[in-house]
Amino acid sequence: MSHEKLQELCPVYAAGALDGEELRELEKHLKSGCSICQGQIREYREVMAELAQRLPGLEFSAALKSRVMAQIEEELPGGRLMEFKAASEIYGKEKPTKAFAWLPWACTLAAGAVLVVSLWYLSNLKRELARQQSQLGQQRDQIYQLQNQLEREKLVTAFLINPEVRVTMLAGTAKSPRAAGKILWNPREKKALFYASNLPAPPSGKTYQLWVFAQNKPLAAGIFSVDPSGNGFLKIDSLAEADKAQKFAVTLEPAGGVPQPTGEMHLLSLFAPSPTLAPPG
Amino acid sequence: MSSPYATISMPDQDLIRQVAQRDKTAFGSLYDRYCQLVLNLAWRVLSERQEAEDVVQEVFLQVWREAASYDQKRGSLCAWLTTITRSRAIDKVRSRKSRRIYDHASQDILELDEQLPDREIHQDKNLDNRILIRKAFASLAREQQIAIEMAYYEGMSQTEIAEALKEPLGTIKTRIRSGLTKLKELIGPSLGNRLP
Repeated sequence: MSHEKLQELCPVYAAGALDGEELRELEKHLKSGCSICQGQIREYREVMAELAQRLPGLEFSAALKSRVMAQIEEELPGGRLMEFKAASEIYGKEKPTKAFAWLPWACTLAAGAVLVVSLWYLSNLKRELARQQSQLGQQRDQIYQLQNQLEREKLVTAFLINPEVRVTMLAGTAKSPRAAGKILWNPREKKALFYASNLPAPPSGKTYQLWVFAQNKPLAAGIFSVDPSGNGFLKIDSLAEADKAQKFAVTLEPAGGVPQPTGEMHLLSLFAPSPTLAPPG
Repeated sequence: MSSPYATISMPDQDLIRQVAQRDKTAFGSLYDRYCQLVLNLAWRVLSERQEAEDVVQEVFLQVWREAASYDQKRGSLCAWLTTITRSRAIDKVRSRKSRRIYDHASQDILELDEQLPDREIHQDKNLDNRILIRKAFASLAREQQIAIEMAYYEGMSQTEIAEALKEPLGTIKTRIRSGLTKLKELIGPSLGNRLP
């Protein structure tokens, strides 16, 4: 395989997707010490590491840190205990005079008290820092969510004031009698916003898929998930055959979506799309 | 042992050097710095909190044991940690009887990316780095996003992705390659000296 071809495999390797003969060839090439390919893989791995930072946050517990710290404590070669024992042996060997016999004990007690107070103070500081960091993280997430919400609302408002926008309601089928849906769509610009409510959570490996029917043929319009309350949202930038749309439907399909509907239908527009809305005022 | 105040702001390479010298305070600071990233990544791959926490424990224990073998020339500490985390989490997924294939959780994340304000990436210098990364990812074609997600977070090989999506192998390879190349162009400037 040429070096150019091997270089093309570097991003696929960094994403962890390379397999078979190509994987063997690239690994052999890397072992031979090609600094160009090694450098490229390093760069792509940095990108993948950055990408992981976009993942939604899971709150971490202080107990988890305690477990990790306890685990590494076990790995320490008993150093602290041995040192402490050695120190006590030294005190034992020294024979203090009678008048000051209490001094080592008093010093030990005082040092112990100072240590306990310091540790307590430090642990309080750490707890406070962790609490404030967590609060800051939550506030950041809230700002981020509000920004998203605002952007979405701006988008909906801009969309709705356009007189060309049509509204079509979808009703739940026997599979989801409580479900309902609404699609706001612009036949000329081929843009649409779709909302669903009260849909059951899809089983693992399944997703909801929206379809537009034009000339009696279903065309895929996008896949969407639902939140714990069963609400789903889909923004469509290019609605196929929007100007010829006859009806809309939602089916449950394998994850990632399919080119033609195969699963159970959960939502269906009962009537033909409404006429263009009249301009406001 | 270092003071906790000194290690909090210590650069990664100094911190890991201290950890290699069995400095528990430095290790605590390294944990605080990267625990969230490791936990999120493990959770993204496994979708199980308990298993994700097990991975966090395993990863940090490995860091404690192998800190001396970390070589900055081979990549940043962040990249080393994400590589270990992904590898351990995917091993756990593979050891399960049934395997989760690209589900709605993945879609949720892609939709979260999509909901970002549609502005030029390089104009948003004041935005949080995480938002910049999300925007960069959201700017990829949907097919590229899905192929990268399936490879990196679901641990699927290019052949498995091609079969699952019923697409030619070459197409999948191109989607991953072109997607990552574009990401590198967009995120690269924010990585600064982390890139060689």
